[in-house]
This record gives sequence, structure tokens and C-alpha cells, in this order.
Amino acid sequence: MSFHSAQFFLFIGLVLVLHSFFSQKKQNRLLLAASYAFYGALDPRFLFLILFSTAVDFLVARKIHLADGMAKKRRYLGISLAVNLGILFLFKYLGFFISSLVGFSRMLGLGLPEPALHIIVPAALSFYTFKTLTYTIDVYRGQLEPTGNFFDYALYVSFFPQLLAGPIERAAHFLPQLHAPRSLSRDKMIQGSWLILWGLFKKAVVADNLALVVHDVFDGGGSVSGFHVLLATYAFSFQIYCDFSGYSDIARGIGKLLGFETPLNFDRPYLAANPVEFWQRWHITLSTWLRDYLFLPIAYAVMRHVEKPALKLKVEDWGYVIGITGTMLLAGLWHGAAWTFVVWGGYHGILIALHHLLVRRRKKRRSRSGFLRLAKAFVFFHLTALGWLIFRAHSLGQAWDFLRRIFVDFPPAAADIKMLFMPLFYCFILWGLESLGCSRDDPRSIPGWRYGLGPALVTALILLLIVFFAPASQDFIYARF
Amino acid sequence: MVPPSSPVSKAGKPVLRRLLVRSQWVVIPLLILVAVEYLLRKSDVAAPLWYARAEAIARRGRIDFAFVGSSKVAAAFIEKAFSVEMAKVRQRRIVSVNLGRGFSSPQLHYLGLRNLLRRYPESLKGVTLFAEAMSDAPLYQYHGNWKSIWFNRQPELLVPLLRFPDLLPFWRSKGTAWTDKFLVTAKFLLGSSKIVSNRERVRHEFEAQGQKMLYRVANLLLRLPPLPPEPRPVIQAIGGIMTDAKTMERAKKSARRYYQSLAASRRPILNRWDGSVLADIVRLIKRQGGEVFFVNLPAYSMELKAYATPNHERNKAIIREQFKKWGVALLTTDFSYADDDIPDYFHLKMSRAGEFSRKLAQAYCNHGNGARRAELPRSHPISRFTNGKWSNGIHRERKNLFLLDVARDASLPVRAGDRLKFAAAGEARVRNVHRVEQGSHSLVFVRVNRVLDPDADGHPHRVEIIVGE
Repeated sequence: MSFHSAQFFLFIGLVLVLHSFFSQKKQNRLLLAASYAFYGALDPRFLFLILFSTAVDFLVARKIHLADGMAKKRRYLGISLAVNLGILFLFKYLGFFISSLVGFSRMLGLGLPEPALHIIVPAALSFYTFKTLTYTIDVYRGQLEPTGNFFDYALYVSFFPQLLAGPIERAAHFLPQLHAPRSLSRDKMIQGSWLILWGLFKKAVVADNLALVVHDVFDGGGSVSGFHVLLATYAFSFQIYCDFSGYSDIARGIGKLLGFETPLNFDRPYLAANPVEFWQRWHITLSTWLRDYLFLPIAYAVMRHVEKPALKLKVEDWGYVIGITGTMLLAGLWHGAAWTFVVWGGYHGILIALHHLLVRRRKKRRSRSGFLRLAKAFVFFHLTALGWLIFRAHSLGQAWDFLRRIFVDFPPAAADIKMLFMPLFYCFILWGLESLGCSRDDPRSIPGWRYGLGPALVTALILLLIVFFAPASQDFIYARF
Repeated sequence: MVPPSSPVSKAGKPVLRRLLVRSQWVVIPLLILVAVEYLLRKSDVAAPLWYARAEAIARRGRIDFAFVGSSKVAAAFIEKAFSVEMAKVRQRRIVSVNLGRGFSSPQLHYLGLRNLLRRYPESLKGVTLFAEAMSDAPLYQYHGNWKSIWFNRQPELLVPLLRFPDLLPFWRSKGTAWTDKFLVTAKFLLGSSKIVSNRERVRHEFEAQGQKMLYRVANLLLRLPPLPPEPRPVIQAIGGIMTDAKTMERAKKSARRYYQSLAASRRPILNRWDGSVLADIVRLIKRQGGEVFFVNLPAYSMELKAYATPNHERNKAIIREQFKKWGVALLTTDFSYADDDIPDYFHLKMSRAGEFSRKLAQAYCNHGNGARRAELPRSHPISRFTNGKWSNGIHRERKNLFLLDVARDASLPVRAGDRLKFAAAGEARVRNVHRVEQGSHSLVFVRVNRVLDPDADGHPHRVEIIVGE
């Protein structure tokens, strides 16, 4: 049941109607039941795992809270980490590590046999594992008091709008909302409906149509020129943005209709002028998660252990560089069990580290030139696109081959120019609408909204959805992670 | 300060202003939608297709032959080639329509034919229907009842064929996912909008025009080498058939898979043909005085091989008996072909389709149908309309102009070029015909090449119609 399917809209319609009639306590139970129904509709077997993970972290968090002394607390946290990361490793990474090990052994001439593993990766595993980890770590750090209500906690873990692909909500932000009175105000209805419409447009019109171009090149199997690779790389850059941010917008829109505030996940990332800014705009909830739970602990640990810094770098720089590269490598691995993701993460880690080292040496001065900023954004967009090429490739070999083709086999045939039209059209429409301010939460803040632009925009989006709704609907990319 | 006469709302805004602000949410969307709808209706993009096209033809005149079936039918028959061949025998203009369509099902054809016959019974009186057969048997999907399986993988094809009374049985039917039922119903309810019903075509047209424009712009800027001429499609690109190289390759792969599964199939012998949708189609056509023929289509060797099983032989024997019961025949042409003539392993290539169509016309005539179907003269009463300028349905001044009354939904009884016979004036040829809707009926103004006498030729006399003889 995908967010852009007829079934989902019937489902959400039913949930909204029931939600509006129920009292607050019943609303929470309804949302829990709806979340499990939504998740169970994908595969009922997945429910056991999410229930197990939820139960373990609920109990462990209470134990941590009640434990006296850090040693005990640490032991309980260890249980939570072991269970959550163990589940993640078993279902998502075991196959990858075994096949990598077998591949490595073959390189060494040992030739270990490859066991036949048939492990189904449960949908949303990476997302809800991060949520459960957040909860226990925050309780351990004393930043959050654990909830005494199992159902509330289960709803936090499984809340269906965010379940498959985030945003990665913090318990400290979500749980209080369960106890505050929730009603559908006019403001929330307008904002929620707009976010859903805007997210649907990005997903069904832009992302799914660009996916056809990307699929032809990356999965087509035929010979492609550098022109095709470049086109598909640009197309994928916008596909993944619209796919993922479209999901986030729909999730946030549904959240608003249900009376919840969900954190922002995307803020026009391709306007970023450097890698740090990019990660402040791209998948914001993951970036902040990584910063709080991985980067800072690693960086501080490095700083504690480095006594004599080398290469004329300060202790803080060593902490930053090692922290960020380690974090981004793990972030890459979080996206999927493949070397392409690891390299992609490492690539971003290196970009951020290099940027840090370069900026550190310069005096801090803020450029006021719009043109310079635009040029930087242009250059950095291409660096990001290069990362997407690695991310989308089936293997590092394919990524290298495609990259090579851009430089050695570029010239397109005259007829290939025609291929540019539809991708250009979708990107142009996206750019135009984002420039108007369509990516804002409240559409009423778009200039001219009250003077005719509002109804014209809504009608145009609906017309675009009717005519350009992609013929082959694709699953959300991040729902696979 | 608000003038005392201006009503003010509780919020303090003048009511008129609030109304204006709110009404924009109705007016602007309506204006945009109506404008787009109007432009679309004016353009060629919304030109009728499939059964809508057949209805447009039936509105103008009669349909003599119709071909129904899958995309194989769409590819194999060239209407013009068949009609010209038949016209040689019948010595009059012949109208044939190819209703073959990819992913169509017999159930869909039943609904389409039902609508056609209900709306234009006169135009389809005595129509001959050619239905798809493969290796001496109808396709196995005919076995289903039209109430159980409504479409073949593409629910969108069902939408234009549905009528309101169909919705209830459709929702009651088994075998269709409720999501598909919901989708079909939603589209049916919005179906009168050309934007909704032609969204795929709008998109394709937009893409094609945009690509051309982009190429022209790029050419101006970069002086591109001239484009190689677009290759002529190998297969008739109608009925949803796609003929680009990639699709052809995909079709070949899926054909191989399909034929292998067909060869391995041990489907039980079909013996409940009386309750099948095929029986419904035969009854429908026969009620209208028409006839049904099954036509063996050219097939790829792998497909023919897949049918050469004992199971299929047993099926054929049962079907032969059924054909006898229904009084329908199986036509096989003497069209010779090779595997190369079926380039994507499914469809006959265009360069051979004309010949196949002609051969079918010959096979049909050889079956004893050529002369039998030459229309007998029909007659039609001349209108009794009389006023200052008209007398007994004939114009007093322009005496070669007369009137016929026909039902609003009925097709035109005469066409330009037809030969008519009047009670006194004798034979005349129709020069032009003009139809004017008048409430529940239509007035047909017919101009002929002969002067008519209101008393001797007009009402209550009848005019004999010797259509295009």
C-alpha cells in the first residue's frame, strides 16, 4: 500500500474520519491499530519483528531509567544496542557480509563456498531501528523520561505516515504530542492538504517519470553513451530528491491532518553551496540523528585519544575528520547493504572533511555575491550528482564504467537531443514551482496566493497529476532502506 | 470607513470582498478546466478511438464488417484493403471497422458491441463480425463469462464501454480486485471529461510536440546534423501496439515466455461454451440479423507449435460441435507467410496485412457470402412535412430537395452517391444529405439530381433506397 495508491487514500480517508470522531485516548489506539494494519498489509510477518523490537526497547528504557548507577544503565543500553543492531545486521547485512567475505576469499584464491541465504529484509527496518535507538539512548543520557504507556511507545515506533521512510522522529518530540489535545484546525487542514498535494506531485509526476529515463540507462543492459549516462545521472538526482522529499511531504501532510507536527526533512538541498550545507538541507532528520548519536560521540572519543596531532592539524580537526568520515561511511551502509552505498557515504564524508579543512584555513567571511553563491551551488550540485551516480549504480564496476563513458564516449546522436525534453520539462516545472514557494508548509505564504494564484496553482497541480501521473508507478526509493 | 449601506461580516471584512475572495476558488479552477477541456475537444488529441470511433462511423452510416479481438487483429486487418476487395464483389461502398485492441478481452468487445448495437441498430443491421481465432479455435479466454472477468489487465479499457446499469453487476462480479473496481468507477464517473479520458494521449502528444520543438531550437543553436527519417513502423501502430525497437524486443521475450507456458498448459477441455461470453456475442450479433465468423490469424511457428497438443485437439473437436450449434463458421485463408512476417512474434507485419485482408475477403466470398449480402432495396416513407415552402416533404421551389424523418439515434438512411427510386420520378442519385436534430427525431434534408413531384413522389409515397449500387 504505497502513499500514492488508491488503496492508501481510501485507508487514510477512513482513518481521518474515525480519528475525527474519537476521543484523544481512542485516537491514539486507532492510530496504533491503523499503523499495524498498514505495516501488516506489506507482509504480516514483519509485525512480529517490530513488536519484538518495540517491546525490548520499551522494557530496556524503563530499566535504564530505574537503574541506579551508570554501570547498570550502560549494561541495559548495551542490551538495547545489541538487540537493535543485531536485528539490523541479521536481516539487512548478514548476506552482504557473507558474500563480501566469499568474494574476498576468492580474490585470495581460497574460494569459500557461498551459502544460499534467503533472508527477506523487513520494510522500514532501518527507520524504526533508528527510532528505537534514539529512545533508549535519550533515556540513558537522561534527556528523556521513558513513557509508562506501552501503546504510546508502540505508536511512536510504528506511526504509519513516518514508518516506511521517515522523517526519523525523536521520541522527545513525538510522545508529548500524544498527550496534547489534537484537533483538525483550518490551518492544519490547509497545510496538510497542500503538503500531500505537493508531495504527490513530486513523487508521481516528477520522480516516477524521471525514473523511466534512469531505469533505461542503469537497468537497461544495452550499450549507452556518456550522454545517456549524464542525462540519467541528472535525472536520478532529481528523481531521488522528488521521490524522498515527496514521501516526507506526504508524511508530514498526513501528520498535520491527524494533528501532529512532523519535523522538516528537506529544504531545497540542491541550493546548497557546500557539503555541510547540503546535509543541513538533505534528509535533515537523518543528518541530525547521525550528528547526535554517531558523529559527536566518535569525534569526542577521537579527541580524547589523540594526544599528539599530526599533519599540522589540531585535535579538534582530527576529531572532526575521523568522526565525519566514519559517520558517513556508516550512513552509506545504513542506506543499503552494498559497496556502492558505502563508497557513496565515504565520498560524502571526504567532501565534508575536505570542506572543513579548507574553511578552517580561511578567515570566516560571508560572501554577499549572489552570483558566487549560485556558482558554488552549481559546482556542488555536480559533485552531489557524481555521488548519485555511484549510489544508483548496481556495482562499483558499473559506476566506474559509466563515469568513464562520460569522458570518453560522450557525443550524442542528433536524435538523442529529443530525449532531453521530458526530463527538462519536469525539472523546469519543479524549479518554477519551488521558486514560487510551493515547498513551504503553508501555501498561504506564497505571494499572490490570496489573489488568484492559489486556486490557479492547485488546479495546475491537479491537472499535471491527471495528465502526467507516471504510467508505471514506482515504489518509494527510501522505503527499500 | 465602511459606508452604512455595505454589509459587514463579523470579522469586519465587507461581505462582498469575502465572497469575492472565496469565489475565486470556484471561478478560477472552473475557468482553467473549461479552457483546457475546450482546447482538447477542438484538437485532434481527443479524436475518438476504438469503439468510440466505430460509433462515430455508425453515426454517419452503416457498418458492414467488424473485426474484433486482440492486438493481433488490430495488426492483421487493414480496413481499406478489405473494404476495397469486398466492394469489387458487392459493387458498392463497403465500410469495415477494425476493433482489434491490445489487452482487450472478449468481455470488453461484448460491451462495446452491445453499446454500438443499442445506439445505432440501423447502421449495424446485418453486420458481419470476424472474431479472432488461433489454430482453429477461439482464444481460450472466451471461455469466461462476461460477468466474471471484465477486462484483461488494463482496467482503463473498460471505462468508456461501461454504462450506469453495468456498475452494479461489475461491483458484484468476482475476479476483479476492489481497487480496480474503484479505479474504473472513479474514471467512469469522470469519463465525460476529455482531460481524464484522454490523459495518455495528451501526454504522448505533448511529448512528441515538445521533442520536435526542442530539436528545432537545438538545431538553430548548434546546427545539428539532419535527423535520419523516422523508420516506417513495421507493424500497424494501432490498437495500442507499440512498434519502437525496444518494445519489439520486449514483445519477443514475452512471446517466448507465453508460448512456452501455452505449450506446457494442460488446461481442461472447454465444454461450457453455452454460458461463455462468446455465446453472448454470437447471440447479440444474430439478434441484429448479423453473422459471426471466426478467422484463423497468422501465427508465429512457436505459437502454432504450442497449440499442437492433444489437449488442444480435443478442445477443437468440442468447439467444432459448438460452432455447428450456433451456426457460425471458421474461416481460413490461403494466405501463406513465414516467421519473418511476424517480426515481434505476435503481430503480422504491415506490409503483409493488406494481402491478408484481401485474402480474407476472398475467403469470405468463397464461403458463399459475397452475393448474398448485396443489400436488397429498402424503402423509407417521405416526410409528411407541409407548410408554405414544403408540400408532402418536398420543397415547392427547389424541387430536387426532399425530407425524411428519422429517429434521433438512428443512422442516416441515405448517403451522398446512393441511388434512390421514387414513386413517379423514378431513379435519382443523392447529391448531398444534411441532418437537423429536432427534439426526439431528426430531419434529413436530401438533395437529388432529379426534379420531384410533391403529389406523385411525396408523402404518403415511399422512396426505395438502393444503397450505393
